[in-house]
Amino acid sequence: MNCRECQDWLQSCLDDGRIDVRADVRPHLPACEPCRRDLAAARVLLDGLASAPRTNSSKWLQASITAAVAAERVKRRRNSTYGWVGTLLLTAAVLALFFIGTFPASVNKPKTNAVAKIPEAAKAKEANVELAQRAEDAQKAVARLTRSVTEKTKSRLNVFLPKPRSLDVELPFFAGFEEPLDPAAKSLKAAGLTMAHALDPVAHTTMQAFDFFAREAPAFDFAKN
Amino acid sequence: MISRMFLATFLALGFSLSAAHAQEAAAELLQRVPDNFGLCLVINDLAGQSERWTKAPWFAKLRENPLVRGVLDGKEVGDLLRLEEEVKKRVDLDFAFLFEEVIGHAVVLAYQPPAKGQPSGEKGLLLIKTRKAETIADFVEKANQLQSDLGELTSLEDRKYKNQSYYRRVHQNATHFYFVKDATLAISNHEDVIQNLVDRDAKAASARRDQWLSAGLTKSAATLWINPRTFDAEFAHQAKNKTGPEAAALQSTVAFWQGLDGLFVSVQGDDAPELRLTLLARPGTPAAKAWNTPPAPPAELWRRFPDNALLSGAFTVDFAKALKKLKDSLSEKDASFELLVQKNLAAATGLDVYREMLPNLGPDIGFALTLPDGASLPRAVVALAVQSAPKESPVDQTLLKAANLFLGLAIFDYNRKNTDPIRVRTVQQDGVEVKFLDQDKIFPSGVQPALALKEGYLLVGSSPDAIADFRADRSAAAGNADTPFVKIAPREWSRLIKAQRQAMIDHLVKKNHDTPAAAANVVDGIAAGLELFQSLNLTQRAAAGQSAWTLRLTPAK
Repeated sequence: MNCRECQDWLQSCLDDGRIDVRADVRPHLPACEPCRRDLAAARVLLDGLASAPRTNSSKWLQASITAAVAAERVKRRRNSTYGWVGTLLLTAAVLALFFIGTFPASVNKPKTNAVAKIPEAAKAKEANVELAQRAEDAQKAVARLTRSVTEKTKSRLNVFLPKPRSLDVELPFFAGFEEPLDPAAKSLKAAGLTMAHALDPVAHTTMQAFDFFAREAPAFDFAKN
Repeated sequence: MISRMFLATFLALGFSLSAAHAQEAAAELLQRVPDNFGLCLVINDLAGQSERWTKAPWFAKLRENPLVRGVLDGKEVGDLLRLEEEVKKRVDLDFAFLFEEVIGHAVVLAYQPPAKGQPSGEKGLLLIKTRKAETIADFVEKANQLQSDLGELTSLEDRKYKNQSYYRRVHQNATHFYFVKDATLAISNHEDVIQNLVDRDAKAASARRDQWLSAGLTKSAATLWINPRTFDAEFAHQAKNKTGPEAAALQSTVAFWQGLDGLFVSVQGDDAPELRLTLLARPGTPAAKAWNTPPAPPAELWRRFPDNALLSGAFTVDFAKALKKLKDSLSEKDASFELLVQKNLAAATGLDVYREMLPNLGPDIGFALTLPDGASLPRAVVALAVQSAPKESPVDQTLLKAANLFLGLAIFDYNRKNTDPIRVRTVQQDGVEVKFLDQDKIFPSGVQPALALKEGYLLVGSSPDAIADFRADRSAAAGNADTPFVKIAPREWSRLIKAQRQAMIDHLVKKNHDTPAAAANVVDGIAAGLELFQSLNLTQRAAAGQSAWTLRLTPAK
């Protein structure tokens, strides 16, 4: 049993509304303070929910929740439009890291033959803290680097791309077109948006895949010891 | 001399054999991925690719660019290098070894998204193939040892399936299953995936591998493969909930999507980086038929735009077909579209839009932004091919008259409301009449919007000079099978930045609150970076049921 499996179990308890500590969870809890804390918090939450009085929600509350959900849906839809942009940014970040990795690795560092020389456990213990610290610094460095390159590029683009200046030339005879064209324009816009949103699941799943491997990768990371 | 030639031949042979081995290795890993995985990222011959790129002159110059230098000398890269030193000290592994020996040959990351309503059901598989079997075994041993020392790896359990040993690896964050066989490491978060790999016949058919090979991506550094079938159910679900024009649009998207067998997004290029999107159509579908026909010749407009235009684009469009498609995608209630086409456009031009106007429009349409020698501001031109037919009322002349009429009305309206009038002037350029607008206050210096009909094109330019620049001999016709769409000349942008250097520095100081020296560093860095590249072109190639869009960055010679 590890933390993730423990968290999954705890989530299923919250879904069911009751906590029965399974046999395979028991050995993990004494050794893991965060999981113990989460379990205690889950107990408090379920006890609190059980003792809360049942009420019938007002129509106003129902309406406001529905409106909030609808607004959230619109927001998510809008956000998902940027999924492709996110994918591109991520790709750019990966490429940037590839380049950065290439420079020092291929230019600054001599090649070495890897010969396994595992230090003795006793000696290693002392160095572990420093190594873990280095790894954590490196993780933060990658995040900072990606963020700073992206933000700098964005800010430069904002500075250099001026907003188009309006010529302030009114075309009175075009104004009349607006009304009859409006339904067609709206339909075309809706059709265009639908086609763009149709591809959202592809962008979403691609991001999900990147997230998955980023999440799984810490199994080879020694930062969190 | 002979020994040098022998050595060079030997090295070249060795190098190409190494690349070929990497491609075979990547194909082999792809073949091993179970069929139900929806996405795969293939990293192929990273060591060879990076070696080729790092040897390129543009790469060395880019490394010396002040902006790139700034990143490389930054604290973040320093932190990474300190980590490398530490790991090297501990287990004698460095980034160069990891990069070249461990992940430098062939790597595949495969992902299966969770079924709907089962967020924890996602499956992942990482396959790494190294050149030598001992490299990967050694690496796994060191990683296990290191994490055991750190107390992160809590259990490593030996298991067996059909005589193949594999391990259950319990890390404090996640549990994985892996095996090492020959020179291949396979890791997954699901035991059944590892067992599937053991079951899978090494010679079993693999559509994924065949597609990768037939798409010509064996030389790509990285390829993301997407299986369209993974998203069929989602699309069907979306289509159910739509009505009206949205439903029509979605149906056409879904129909196109269902005709696809695979999508690839790849990064490649031996000497010049390329980003490519490749679509593979299923045989017999409309897309496959369209991509099997010989490609249309590139737009004639490309011969009229200079190769070193800052930005240019040219397309061939069948306007009659495009308008029909547009009309079909609208619902019956959108009668206003028909009203615009039949009533207003026909009334303005005196032509029957479908019968007389559209067949004589195009197919070429495009634009170009150029920076003439010695100029500090670019010139722009937009061109639409128009035929001088039918005889009784030629479309080219009719459109020019209609454009002049609209322009006159707009100017009349502006001048009525403003004290500084816009004047319409005329200039003759080798028998071509060019009309342009003259007003110093609303148009920037050097901008005099111009209109003309020249050599079968209706032109709108940023000045009469832009119209004069438009002629048939500006560049050679494209000679390969790729159809260009958009071209950018980074070196010309560098020239423009240099011409506008002080203005850009002032702009940065004012808007970004940079110091003048820092602003100058940024502007010079961008200009120097752009100068390294001759062109950035977006092209399309369709053949054998495939269509590929390529964005290619060509270094300057």
